[in-house]
Amino acid sequence: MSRQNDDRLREIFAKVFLVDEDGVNDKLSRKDVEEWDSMGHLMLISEVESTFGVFINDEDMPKIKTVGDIKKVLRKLGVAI
Amino acid sequence: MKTDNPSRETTSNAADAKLKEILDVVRKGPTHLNYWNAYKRIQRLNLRTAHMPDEKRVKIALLSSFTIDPLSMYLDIKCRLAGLYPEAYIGPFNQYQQEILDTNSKLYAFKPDVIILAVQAESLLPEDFFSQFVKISKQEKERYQTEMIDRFRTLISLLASRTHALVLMSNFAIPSFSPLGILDDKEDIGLKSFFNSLNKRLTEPYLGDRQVYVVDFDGVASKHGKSRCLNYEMYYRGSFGLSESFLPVAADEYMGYIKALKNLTRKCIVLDLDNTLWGGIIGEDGFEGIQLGKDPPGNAYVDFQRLLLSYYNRGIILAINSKNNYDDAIKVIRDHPHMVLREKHFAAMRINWQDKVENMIELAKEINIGLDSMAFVDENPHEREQVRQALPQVLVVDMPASPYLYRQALQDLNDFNTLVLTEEDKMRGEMYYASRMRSELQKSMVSVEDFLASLEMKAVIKQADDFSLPRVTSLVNKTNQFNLTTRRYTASEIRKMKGEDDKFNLYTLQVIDKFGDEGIVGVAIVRKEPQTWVIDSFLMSCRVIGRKLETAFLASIVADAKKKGVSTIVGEYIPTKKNEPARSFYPDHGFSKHKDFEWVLDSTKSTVSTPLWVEVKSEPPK
Repeated sequence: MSRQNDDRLREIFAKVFLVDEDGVNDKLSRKDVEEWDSMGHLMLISEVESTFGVFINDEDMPKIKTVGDIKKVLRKLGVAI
Repeated sequence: MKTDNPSRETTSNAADAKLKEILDVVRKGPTHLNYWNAYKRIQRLNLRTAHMPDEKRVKIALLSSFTIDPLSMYLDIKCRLAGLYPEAYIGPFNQYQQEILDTNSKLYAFKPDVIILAVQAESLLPEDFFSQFVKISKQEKERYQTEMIDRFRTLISLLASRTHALVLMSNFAIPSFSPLGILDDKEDIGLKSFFNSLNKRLTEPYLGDRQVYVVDFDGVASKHGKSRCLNYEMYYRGSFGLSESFLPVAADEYMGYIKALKNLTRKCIVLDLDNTLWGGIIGEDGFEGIQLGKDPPGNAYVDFQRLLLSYYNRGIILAINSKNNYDDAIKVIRDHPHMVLREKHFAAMRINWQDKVENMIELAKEINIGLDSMAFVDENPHEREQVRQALPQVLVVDMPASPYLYRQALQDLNDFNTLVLTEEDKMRGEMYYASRMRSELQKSMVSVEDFLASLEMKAVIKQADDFSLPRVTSLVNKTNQFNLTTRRYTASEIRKMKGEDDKFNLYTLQVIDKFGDEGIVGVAIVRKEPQTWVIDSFLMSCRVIGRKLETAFLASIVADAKKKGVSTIVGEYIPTKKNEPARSFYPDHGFSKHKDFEWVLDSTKSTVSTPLWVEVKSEPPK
């Protein structure tokens, strides 16, 4: 389950920001990714929300700066990842 | 980090291959994420469109009161999937009015082909409009409506006069909620009827307009389900006015207009028979065994045929491509009590055991349209795949497995739209059938005269009237082959000639035969001088050439001149690259050469007689 969710997040990340799936790791951060602008950020959040069926509240949203941050938020919301 | 870095040296072939690869992903998996990804990747390809042919390029400007970028993204991909090269301009957020008013705005510099104006009602109403609605008086509501309509009419007329673009103005989504609840329609103007009448008043001024179209946004939203049209999280976070699930539906609606504008319209639907127009296989189940009628699933096939008939009535050509014994299949089409479509509805038929690809090519030739104007409907996925691979120009419809969903699948296509619907469109099907019958008859006849006599032709020759003027103008400006002088006149010039009936006779020729009414197919303009009539223009649609109707038409003009005591009739022939078929028209009818390009007939000595096989009904000029 956790492995599967990991793959789904990796796919979302790669497709939203046009990066190689293999390069997606927890440390990958906003300043490393050219396409991670405000529009891209909203797209990422929206895809993560609809894929995992969660609602990320607006306090957590701006705190998400790395792939690891998203996982932390998802775990808090009960997603095994 | 980046993986597919844009390379500026990418050759155009490599870029095309890359584009195809990107589009294939979204074609196979049309998810929101894949649209986003494809769009971003295509942006990186830095495709140059300048060298692309004009007919494949389209510049789309989007103006709106909300974040409309995602719609632009969907339109970009959908245009590319349809073979177009789109460019987009997105107006600054909620500044559509300034953009339209300012002649120096980027909107006008962009020179759009299509302008999409999508505005939410909220942006035009006071902030407390909804909360105060129940307390607002009827007069005040009407004042709001008039103000909104006036505002829009001004903006639209500016767009229409300052650009050549097709203007697509969306109407307002009628709210599904009202604070009045079940009493909403007990009010003089409830919230829903407020928007209903607003939409009605928005549409009315543009009924006959050829540049401005009001897109039924409310209808599209209803079709999708209004509760699903907004993603509230994205709406409040970023003013996104269309939800992820609604975006493709809305984009498809706009694509209907764009495809019509760019001539990507499908003019002909080619149909299979077994399990497509009826359930079962006629060769195995027999006449009584096929499913077609009042019981399921036969009722679904009947309804599917009714949809096809409604398309036929608006000018879509129908044809058959079926693997069957001709006699078995034609018996169903002719005699089955529940068939809606009959032989007369099909412009051409291929019912045989030949390859369907071969049949498609033959049908295109017989109907005289391009394969890229055809759609193919067949329940058999193998046949579909074969046609798709061999003839990629043909639109192969992905038919659902269940016949109950056939009608829906065809209704969902946006490929049959035209921006104008003419009387001729509505008669097109009958004309094709008549032409097929004529050529079948010709094959069975021994002599040309026998054939022509068997058509029972009637020629109605009279002066142009207000009703026929648009057709006269169109024939005068479009006819190339059987056109003696190829003089072109504008609508207003022709109207003027019609008004001067002491100087001009403006003849029209309408032809009716036993297979149908061809409508007006010939025009002659006669300039009346004292003692002499000069035939300024004489032309006929190529559809009726070869039936000696031109002789009947000329005979009628000569007879009219004689009745008025005019003895000299002058005919001119001005050669062009295309009017060779008309070269010997005057000498063939007893005119003698007067000087270069000019022939004369002295009607006291010679006359032109009407062919025996044409019955002429003539209304002589005043």
